[in-house]
Order: sequence, then structure tokens, then C-alpha cells
Amino acid sequence: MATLVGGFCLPHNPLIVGAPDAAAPEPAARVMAAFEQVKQRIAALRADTVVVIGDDHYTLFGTQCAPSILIGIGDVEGPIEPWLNIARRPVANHPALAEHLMDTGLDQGFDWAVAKTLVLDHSVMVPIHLSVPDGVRAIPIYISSGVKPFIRGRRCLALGRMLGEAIAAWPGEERVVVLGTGGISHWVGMADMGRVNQEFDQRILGLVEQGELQALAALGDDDIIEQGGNGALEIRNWLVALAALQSYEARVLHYEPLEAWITGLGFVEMAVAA
Amino acid sequence: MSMHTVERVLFEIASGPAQAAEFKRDRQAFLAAYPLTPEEAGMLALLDVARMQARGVDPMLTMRAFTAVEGRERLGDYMGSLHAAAGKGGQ
Repeated sequence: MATLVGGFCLPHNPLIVGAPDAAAPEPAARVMAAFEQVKQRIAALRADTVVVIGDDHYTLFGTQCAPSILIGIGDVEGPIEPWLNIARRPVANHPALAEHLMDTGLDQGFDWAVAKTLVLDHSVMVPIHLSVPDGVRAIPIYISSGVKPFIRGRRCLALGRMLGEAIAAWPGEERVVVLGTGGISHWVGMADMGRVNQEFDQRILGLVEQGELQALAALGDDDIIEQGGNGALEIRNWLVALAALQSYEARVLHYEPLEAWITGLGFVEMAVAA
Repeated sequence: MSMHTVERVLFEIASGPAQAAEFKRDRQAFLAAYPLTPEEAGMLALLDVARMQARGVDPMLTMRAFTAVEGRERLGDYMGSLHAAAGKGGQ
């Protein structure tokens, strides 16, 4: 059966690749080193598949349809944004495993929106570009942590648990890593854009390290937005990944409060027992 | 009709360079295709991002549409209008 061999929480800020010179060289280099460290760790885990949890930013989907949970089961390419300095390219999916995740979810009452073709936005593409080794397949999942109506924290827990169980039930030998992307504090398009709340970020990192998933799930929308900005709701992407792992030992790989990139950038590895 | 349609218009403006260029070329003609009140059309024509946000429009959309039309290099102007509105008590 397939094995969930580990997980990571990492940023997906588009400025990291789209405006690399906006940040000072030294902190930028530290951030890029952290992405590389995640990449090296995924390679060391001998993962052949990643499940990437991202969120739309009114880039892929407009007012006519706002999926709460979406899985890409077919042809994937990206990025959709032309200004990321990433040449648009196909992204290798794992369609059979993705369909298994879809079917398991549907059987358990998760009414997926399903993308048979999907062009990724930065939330999934930036982590793939910076941290997923060549040859590793990527299953994209989008949750509504960026655009209202926001997915509930407790739903993220349930979704993550379902994904973890589904991966374990897959009758293959895949070694799978789950990535929770985005965050931590950032205000997108708002008057406070550029502000970073280090206290909030450290609180979130602490809850992740301590495995306090219920506490993370209990954080309300207004509370998160007030303290961490509308972008901080992406900690629900993290929550899906954490819940998929169920049991893990977390260590913070790096934290960089980088106002020039408008974000408190956090990297966490969640190690599972071998 | 409502801020939902305002958001729809912003999304469509930002959906590609051709759409943004069409809006910029003739804003009134572009907006005439949508069921907007005069107030809504006015906010959109001016890309009055502060006023739209005060009415509940998603900030990600206001920023995407503004930068699609005016260019990312004018993000400072975008932020300036938000800061100015905040200084005036959010009017």
C-alpha cells in the first residue's frame, strides 16, 4: 500500500519568484535555501508523489463558481500567472491516485469539485517549482481558504484525515509527501499589505509544533484576518496537510518575516515514524 | 446589481491582457455590458479600489484588476489610494 512518508508546510508567495529583487539579498537567500532544504528532504524521503494543498485567489475561479474543495485528476499545467518568471509547462499528475482520492472522498461525503484539466496558480505552482524534485508527480488540491465562503477549520481536519486514510488504502507502493502551502501572516490587496505579524506567526508555528490541530481548527475567520491578514487563512491549507499525517513530529526549518515580500514566511517539516 | 456583479466585472477585467486593454480603451462601453447601478459603474470606471473595498469587495480582486489595467508598477498608487481612504476614516 502507499505510504505517507512525511509532510511540509511552506510558503507560496508569488513575489518570491515574480519579484525576487524586491527583497534584500540576504533574507531572500535564506528563504530560497529553505525551499531547497525542503526539496532535499523530499528527495531523501524517496517520495515519488506529492499532494499539494493550495487555494485560489480569484485567479482561477470567479464569481460564477467558488469551489470549497477541488482536486485535479487529469492534465495539469502551470502557472497561470504570466509574471512569475516560471515558464508555463505541464506538471506531471498521478491521475490514478488522484481519482482514488476523489472516489474515497465522494464515498465519504466530500463533494469534490473535480478538474479534469487544471492550470495551476502560484499557490500550488510556486512550491512545486521550488521544492518538488524532478520526476515527482504532484496531485493538486484547492480549498477555499482564499476566497469566501471560507472552508471551515473542522472541515479541513476531516478532509485531511480522509486524504491520509485514502493514501494508506491505495494498493500501490507509492511514497507520498503532503504539502500545506501558503501563509503565514500577510495582507493581500489591503491597506495593511506589507505588514507582518511575527507574534501571530510564532503562535501558529507553535501550535503546529505541538500538534494542536483542534486549536488551529478553532481559530475563527475574523480572528485570523485581524491578526494575520486575509492571507493568513492559508493556515487552513496547512491544517489539511497536518490532519492527513495524523501523527507527526514537527520542526520549524526556517521562519523569515519579510515585509518586502509582504509575508511572514514559515517552513515546517512534519516527520512521521518510519 | 450588487457587489457580486462588481466582483464579476473585476474578475473579468483581470482575466487576461485583452480584457484589461478593452476596459482601458473604453470603460463606459465595457461596463455597459453588465447590469450595474450608476454607483457601481462609477466605482468601476474609476477603479475606486478604496470605495469598493469599503463596500465589501474582495481586496484580491481589486488589486488584480487594478494591476491588470494600470500595471504592477503602479501598485504604489493602488496602496496610496487605500492609505488615503484609511486616513480619511475609510470613506
